[in-house]
Amino acid sequence: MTLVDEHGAALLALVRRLCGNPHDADDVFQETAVRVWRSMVSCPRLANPRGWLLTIGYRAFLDSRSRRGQFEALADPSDRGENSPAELAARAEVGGLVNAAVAELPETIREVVVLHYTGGLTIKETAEAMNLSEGTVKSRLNAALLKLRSALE
Amino acid sequence: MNCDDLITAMESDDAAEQQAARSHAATCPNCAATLAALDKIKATLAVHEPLPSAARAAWERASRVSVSEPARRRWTPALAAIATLAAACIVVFVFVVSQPRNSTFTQWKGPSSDSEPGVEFDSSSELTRLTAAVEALDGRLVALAENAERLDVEREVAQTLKQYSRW
Ligand SMILES: [Zn+2]
Repeated sequence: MTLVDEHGAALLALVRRLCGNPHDADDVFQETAVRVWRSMVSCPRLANPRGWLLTIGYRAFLDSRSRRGQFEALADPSDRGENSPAELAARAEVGGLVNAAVAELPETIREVVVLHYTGGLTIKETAEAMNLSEGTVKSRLNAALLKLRSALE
Repeated sequence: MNCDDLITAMESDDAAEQQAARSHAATCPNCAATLAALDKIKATLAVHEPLPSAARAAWERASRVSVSEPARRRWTPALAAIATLAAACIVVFVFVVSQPRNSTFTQWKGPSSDSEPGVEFDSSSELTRLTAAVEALDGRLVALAENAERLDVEREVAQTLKQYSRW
């Protein structure tokens, strides 16, 4: 079982939620793959391959976001795929409300939620990936869950 | 256990604290609703669709490009400032040397030191030479930016590896 077979689905789910649209997510997924393959040259023995892979994916997402930063601010929200037929269909499914509510969360809060709940990173791993304290991660999670809960009411 | 502490308790790594939160929710309708919502949120967020074959193929393709493909171009603010300054200096220089000559300038040999004394400075060829120099400088800066980004990423990945590895 290779790294991608074991954890690729989690990685793709993570970057899709982080990016908010499938096109950017595919780019970040590919960039993560490039970084991972480069590291594999040294044949590392990973104690926590999933945590490592998802952290690389998150960092690739951050780099991608900073590269396209100013364009994103100017872009028409409808160009980001948020209202695509696939997205609308997804929102209609069970859990669609949750997905829509997560997409509406402020970026810093959403990242914590996605890394912890979609990626399955522990609070400590999430804090390390984001260069935050564990306390900050916990308080952001708290804020996120309160917002998500009210969105579901 | 206070209603306000429910989410914090549920997110705690302490199993006893989580259990206390669940016990409280069993007797508090408001917290029971919150808990049900939290469970639904967590379950929804944890769902992963199977990896599409296109993504699996992209992963394999990346093994081939990872060695050959240079990192994508990114201008850092510092490099952009250096490039702008260099370009501005060259533009000013070209502007100065292409001005109509006064008596002092007619005697000037121009930047090409092999000009004969008194020979007119050929501003158009000098401009061509400078343009080529600017292009070369631009290429060099782009290469430096690419290299800087690649090193940046490699350093970051190495740090992450250290964090998640046992050697
Ligand atoms: Zn309560």
